[in-house]
Amino acid sequence: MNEKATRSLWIVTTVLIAVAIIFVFASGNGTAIDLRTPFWGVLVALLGLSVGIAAVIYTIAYAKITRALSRGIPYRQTSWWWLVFWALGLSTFMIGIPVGRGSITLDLPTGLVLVLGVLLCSGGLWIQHGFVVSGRGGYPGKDERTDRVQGKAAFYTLFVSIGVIIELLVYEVVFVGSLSFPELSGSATLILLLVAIVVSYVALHWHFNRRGEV
Amino acid sequence: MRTKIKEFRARYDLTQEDLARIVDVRRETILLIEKGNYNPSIKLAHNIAKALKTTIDELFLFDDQGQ
Repeated sequence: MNEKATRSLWIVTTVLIAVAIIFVFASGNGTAIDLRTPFWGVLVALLGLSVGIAAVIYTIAYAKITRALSRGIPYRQTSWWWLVFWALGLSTFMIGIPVGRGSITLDLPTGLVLVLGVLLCSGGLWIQHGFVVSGRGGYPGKDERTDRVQGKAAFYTLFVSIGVIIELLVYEVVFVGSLSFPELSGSATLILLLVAIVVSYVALHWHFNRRGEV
Repeated sequence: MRTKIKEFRARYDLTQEDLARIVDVRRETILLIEKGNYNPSIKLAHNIAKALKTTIDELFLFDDQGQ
């Protein structure tokens, strides 16, 4: 595939995502996604996710095999695979949701999670696209220093997560229990925790990566 | 710690990217090692020395070693 084809693939995927989001929001008229009801959308979505997960496993295995056989330019090839499978998994997932729209209803937190997921996937796709187009796909994306950076970021993220959980507990016990503050819903708590983990990991990764010694 | 990686790269007409590709690390890692901001593992130091056809002793200079 050349650059033009890659760009087209990215644009088509983005359009698909946009259409899917419009479908999802247009069909939302209730309060929550009911995952207990089997419907085609969920099945297709799970298929899409499975393809995505399989792609990750395959790509890692592929990278290891090609690196073992020929040290040199394996990553460029794996980058293409990343791109193709990202697009395939994401498209299948996003097409799956509007297909099952009869059973899907949305509330605000669920919609935000969905949008966050789409943004993350699109971001990943965009970054991968950048690697391929710029030719940087030929270089390793990870080495001993990156391992250290990731390990350290993950280690401190654990403490941040524990801190956030304790804060949520304090809020629940002290503020809600004693001071009659509004109670947080389960989904809001999970989203808060998820955001705290993701943001702290990204920030810590950036912080440790900009320093020389880790 | 200082290094002579830059000199050796110039000798063999290698860019940081070329060297990074040969020793299988990110270009930023080579940059940081060159600037003396990152201490590589012995294995990586060995790989870099091997790629530049020299030894670790020749490539890496510690402050108590002088020039």
